[in-house]
Amino acid sequence: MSTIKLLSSDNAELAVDKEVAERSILIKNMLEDVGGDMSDQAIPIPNVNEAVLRKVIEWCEHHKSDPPPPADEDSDSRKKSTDIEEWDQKFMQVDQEMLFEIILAANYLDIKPLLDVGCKTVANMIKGKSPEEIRKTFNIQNDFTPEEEDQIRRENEWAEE
Amino acid sequence: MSTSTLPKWGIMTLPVELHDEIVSYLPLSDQISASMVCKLWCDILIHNHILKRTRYATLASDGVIGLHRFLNVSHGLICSIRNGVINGYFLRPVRDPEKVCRQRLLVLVKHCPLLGEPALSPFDSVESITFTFYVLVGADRHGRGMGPAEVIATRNDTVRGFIDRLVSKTNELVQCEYVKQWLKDMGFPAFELSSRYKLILSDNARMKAERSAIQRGGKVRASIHIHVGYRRNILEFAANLG
Repeated sequence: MSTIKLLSSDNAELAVDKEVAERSILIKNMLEDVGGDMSDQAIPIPNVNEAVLRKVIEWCEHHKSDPPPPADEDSDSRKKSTDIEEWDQKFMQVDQEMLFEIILAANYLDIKPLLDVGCKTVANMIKGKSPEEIRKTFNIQNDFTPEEEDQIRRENEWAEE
Repeated sequence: MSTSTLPKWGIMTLPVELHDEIVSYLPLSDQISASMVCKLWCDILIHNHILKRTRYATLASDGVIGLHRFLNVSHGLICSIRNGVINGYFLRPVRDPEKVCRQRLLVLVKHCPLLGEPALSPFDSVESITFTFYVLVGADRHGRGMGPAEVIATRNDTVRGFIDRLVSKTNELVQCEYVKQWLKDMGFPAFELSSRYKLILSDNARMKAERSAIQRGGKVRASIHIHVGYRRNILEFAANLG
């Protein structure tokens, strides 16, 4: 099995099985463009640091023999499930900083199934929470006007009777 | 005003299309909360057509096909009414199965921009849906039924506008002479327009509004139940009252 090298944004060189690296459509296309022979040269991944790249490779290793995702099954009425398989759930038990880094890396490297797992993980963190709790969880600035906020507070008092 | 510094990491560093992706996994109840978190999410929820489509019933199991799910969902919208007008829309979020306490958490949705959406699906050809009311006054077994009254949801209605009409019709019904006289005969206190009540929408083709009379000395308590069905369920409700 051939091995290729990836160069992270912080200049770490990581050796990866070609098959594993090709879970990334970006890398796969790149390799096809150069005719597949990158054995002596590291592929620069300028947007992803070593820690995140290692994490992403770990995911690709585990999922290297997954069947390819079904071609664009995007249907408008489809209800999306947020079920995540157990291994992926464990894999995603990281701090928020890492979680969002993984999502950004999956997006950049074009690894759709990993991107899906990341987005589902975030969606599950949103579920069942009030707007205020969601803001607190993700440290989101409330950019609605104070008047609206004040109104909401007064009405909430009413609701809790 | 100081310019806000952009966070180095966190959810707000994600590009917009990923927010879109994340929000698209949320069921209706969480879409409501999300729409009130920040303007970006609010924008995404209103304008993303795939998400918009999920807010209308497309299967019979979702309720009446083509109707906004706010008007359909089983543990859906609760309107608190005071002085005859809605002063709050609330939503009971789906209970978290892991949470032992069954906290009745109400989320206020009065400012939820999704209430401004059409009551009938823009993706469907349905022209109107008729809601039929039967009013049952008094305690369950001794109650008196009256009706039917109709409120029709049309293509011009927003969810908010339609619920407002539903409430004014409800007000009309509970204020009618028949009800007043009956309450008097039964020795119940009269309903005042100032009394509070809640209109609860549910998806089993039956909506329920409960209006409780002001209790005096903890003795007398009368209530009005308003059963609401959709056009095709008239018989079922007539049977319920028979």
